[in-house]
Amino acid sequence: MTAKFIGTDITHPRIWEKAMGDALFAADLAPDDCLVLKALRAGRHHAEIVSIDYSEAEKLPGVVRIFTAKDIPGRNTTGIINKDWPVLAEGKIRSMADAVALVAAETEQAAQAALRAIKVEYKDLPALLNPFDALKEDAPKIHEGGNLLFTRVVKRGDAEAAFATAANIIEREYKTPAIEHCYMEPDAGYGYVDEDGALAIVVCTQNPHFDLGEVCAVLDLPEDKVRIIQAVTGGGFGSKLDITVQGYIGLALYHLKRPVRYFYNKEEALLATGKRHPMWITIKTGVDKDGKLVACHAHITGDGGAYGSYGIAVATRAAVHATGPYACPNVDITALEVYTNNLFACAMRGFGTPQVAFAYESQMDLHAQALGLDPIEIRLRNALRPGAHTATGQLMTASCGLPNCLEAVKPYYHDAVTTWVKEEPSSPTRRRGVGVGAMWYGCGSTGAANPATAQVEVDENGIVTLFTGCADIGQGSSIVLLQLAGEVLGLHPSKFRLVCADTKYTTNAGASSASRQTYISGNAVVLATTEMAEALKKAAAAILEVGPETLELDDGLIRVIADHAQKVTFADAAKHIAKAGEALRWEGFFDPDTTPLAAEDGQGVPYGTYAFACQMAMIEVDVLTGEVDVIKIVAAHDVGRGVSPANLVGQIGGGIGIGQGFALTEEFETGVTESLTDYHIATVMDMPEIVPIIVEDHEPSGPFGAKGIGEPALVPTAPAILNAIEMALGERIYELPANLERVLDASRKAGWPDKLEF
Amino acid sequence: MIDVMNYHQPDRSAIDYVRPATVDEAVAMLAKEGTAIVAGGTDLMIDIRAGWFKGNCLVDVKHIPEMHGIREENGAIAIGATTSIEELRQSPLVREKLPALYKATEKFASLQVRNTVTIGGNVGHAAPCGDTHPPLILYDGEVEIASASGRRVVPLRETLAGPSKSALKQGELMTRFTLRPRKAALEDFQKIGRRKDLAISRVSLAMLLDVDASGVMDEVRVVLGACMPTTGRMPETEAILKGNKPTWKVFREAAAHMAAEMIAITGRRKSIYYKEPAIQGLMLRMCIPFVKGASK
Repeated sequence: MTAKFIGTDITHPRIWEKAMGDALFAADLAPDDCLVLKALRAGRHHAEIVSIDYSEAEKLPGVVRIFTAKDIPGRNTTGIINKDWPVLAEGKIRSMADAVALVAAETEQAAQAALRAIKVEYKDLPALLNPFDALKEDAPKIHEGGNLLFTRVVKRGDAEAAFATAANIIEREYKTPAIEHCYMEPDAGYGYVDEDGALAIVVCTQNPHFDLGEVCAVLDLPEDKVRIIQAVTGGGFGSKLDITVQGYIGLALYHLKRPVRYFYNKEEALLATGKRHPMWITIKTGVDKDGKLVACHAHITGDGGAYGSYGIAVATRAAVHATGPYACPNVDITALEVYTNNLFACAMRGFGTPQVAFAYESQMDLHAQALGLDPIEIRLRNALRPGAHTATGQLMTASCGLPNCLEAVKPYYHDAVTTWVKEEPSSPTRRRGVGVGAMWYGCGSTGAANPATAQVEVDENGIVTLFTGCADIGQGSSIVLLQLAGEVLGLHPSKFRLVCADTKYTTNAGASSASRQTYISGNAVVLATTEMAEALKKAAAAILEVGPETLELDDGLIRVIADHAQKVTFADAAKHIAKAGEALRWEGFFDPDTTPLAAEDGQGVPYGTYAFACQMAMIEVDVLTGEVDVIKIVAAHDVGRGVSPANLVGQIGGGIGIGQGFALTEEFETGVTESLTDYHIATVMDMPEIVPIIVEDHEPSGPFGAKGIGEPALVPTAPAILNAIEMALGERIYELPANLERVLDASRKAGWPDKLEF
Repeated sequence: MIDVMNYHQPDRSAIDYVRPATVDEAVAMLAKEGTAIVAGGTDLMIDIRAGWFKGNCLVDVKHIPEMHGIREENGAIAIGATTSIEELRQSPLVREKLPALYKATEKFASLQVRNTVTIGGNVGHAAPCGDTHPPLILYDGEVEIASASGRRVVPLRETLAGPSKSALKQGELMTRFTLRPRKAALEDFQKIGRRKDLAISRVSLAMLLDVDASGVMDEVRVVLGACMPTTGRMPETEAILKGNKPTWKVFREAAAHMAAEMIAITGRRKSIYYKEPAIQGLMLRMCIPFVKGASK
């Protein structure tokens, strides 16, 4: 079937606003007379609160009100999976970012003066800044239930017995750091009492309906008394899944009933929001003489920081994906999620899978070297294909595009290793390397219901409106959903009205996370519009006195396929439907077909579909200084069906940027990293040439065969770069980031500085 | 433990901003306590945001005509203190006569920052990682300092009192720099940062090396940046090179000594783990074309 709008680049009308800097974010839109909110943050890792005295602060000019935990009418804990994060600290401080009090004031200056005047007496407790200290028996408990939040075991076959049969066994330890998301727009929101008397909060967010539930719980209000409106959102990468300013704005609105705002500056956004989980990964893998995996044993310890957030899901995902995109019949994997006093860890693009990908792809290269196999070949031999089972015992039935991705990268790889790597590098102190990294990623929540809903309406003028709760955070979900709806209705995406991510008008579409919106909301939109198309055809068939199967939809008309002169407008069909007393609104609901993972062995069907990818990195390393220059990345991604090619390329480019930072420069240390002065994301000057390759291995359960790209784009980048560094230096790095220090260290270990002679 | 309260900005409406038209006007204003010089302001804005700036008046000297521009005077190059880094980068005079300074401007921060930062600001802020410091010292830079009592000229090195500490007193203003070009076989500046753009130097090095007719190094200047409390020449290292032919062996020896010379000043701080081998690597990388050229 040739598609009209799918696979074509259609520019969303709002793209230009963003490109030209005209888009208005929450901080631009907040009314000037808003009260200013600011939180007093603890600035210490672990303590008991002895007393809070804000009597002086409250008397300062311009200070309207100061709130503490006792002012919270409902449940003073929030959290995406487990509820352990207070909006305002109650008795105890678990991380430096913990908010002790909230000030509402007429001006910034008054708010700051109030913060300085609040007196808090603390009794410090020992700070636990890594999970191993936190797991010690005599360690103080950060939360009442102890410091081990969650354990995920994935066990299948008999790993120990299988190792005995392996031709080659590799066991290594890998370490990855905390990472800051570094979205461009610092968290911001404002609130007012809307026309219904509801507390309306306009905020950047990845999940307005989750925010709604949390704010209602904190304020003990029913859902019709709170409204979340997603503002134009300048990126999130997982960090804007947690509530940030929503709770504070809700609390102040509840008590004051006046417009209020809270904008984080960049430093506060770095301090008060979550980070990527640091992970310590011990992994042992065995292959047979042909290089096929026979067993994988892994122990993963994740530093979840002070609060749970998405941590349980991150640990689960790390365990489920730890074999890599390969068939491995015997697995024994354990992942721990541990509380510490570091800034809390949350979801970040990849949810634990970039960390394990660094481990499993390093292992794959080590096996290839041990057996003298080509890195692409060993991956082809192991790649999951239909008929294979995953570590959780899920039978793969379709859309396993890894072999296609590997084949797509293969000519580039062989050209690079036979020619490019042997040419003169750009400086005599540099050495070249080429590496590949592959990955898989389950789209949607892991073994848990995560449905999306969507509605479509047509009015008696023929105007079509699509309603979705899906937050477009810059990744382009709105245009993707419009392209899918347009395809079904034969209507150009620019002709729709779109109502998006306002909880007053839309229903839950779930989070814009887990690379799920194209797949899950996309399906909901296709189901809703398909119902509408059928209803329109039925109405037109009645008007034209033909069979509905003889009709097609095109540009606002329902017409007879064989005779285009016989046609009915959407408007006339809508009037016909209305006259019959039927609603002009249709709903789609989609939840992927999954089963929960068994607690004892993690067996089950966690995802409806998986995305696959392979990237290749070409790099130069200066052996005297440790500088790494990423020259080129070839990125092949199986997306099922490419709905919006320009968006896919954008996601791949952005993913590689974050992946490169994870590989080489980014490292966040609680209490040390304070601003972007000491945190180094890749700039445009650091970006390599990128060759994006879209692989389409049709996903039967996807909308027109599509699945997700958002996270897969970044997962293989770091493994590819690290494998390339190993080729260049002949020395492998096991801890990220591979920064100047670690790369020069590896170079010196390999003796390169002494080998140079001029 | 960091003081999170530091993030809360002071009341900017309580800070005056004035824009003198002449050097005399400026030094008169700067004589008052609480005034600070703005010569671009990229570092000062950070100080204000962080709450470190305790003054009450900003004196913006960027609009004093006398303090701006690049001129050749009797074989020396005079650079007005408010000349921007980007203006230096685009100057054919700088590129031709002061190639090591040109290279420093090429790798300086980002275009937006280069457009704003001035050479006077970069020297006046006295950050150890200031990328103009090594080439300015390499070319025997001198700076003219104006105050209510007149003007004097001092070697640039003397204005660097410590990390982010200028030797200038309240009421003093750098007006212009004088650099002495010296054509040499090698004039180079290189830095190592954590990325290609907007990178603070982890280490930087400027070198000027020349040989006499017999192929022996007769002019040797080595300036190490971003490693010590203030940037400066490395006299012991220079002595090892001087009078020798430029061979890989002698540079290896000099590089190793430079690391020792640095550590003698800084002690073994945590960052030395990287800086010790890295400055040696940087010196060796920079000398390769020179060694190769000399051995031909």
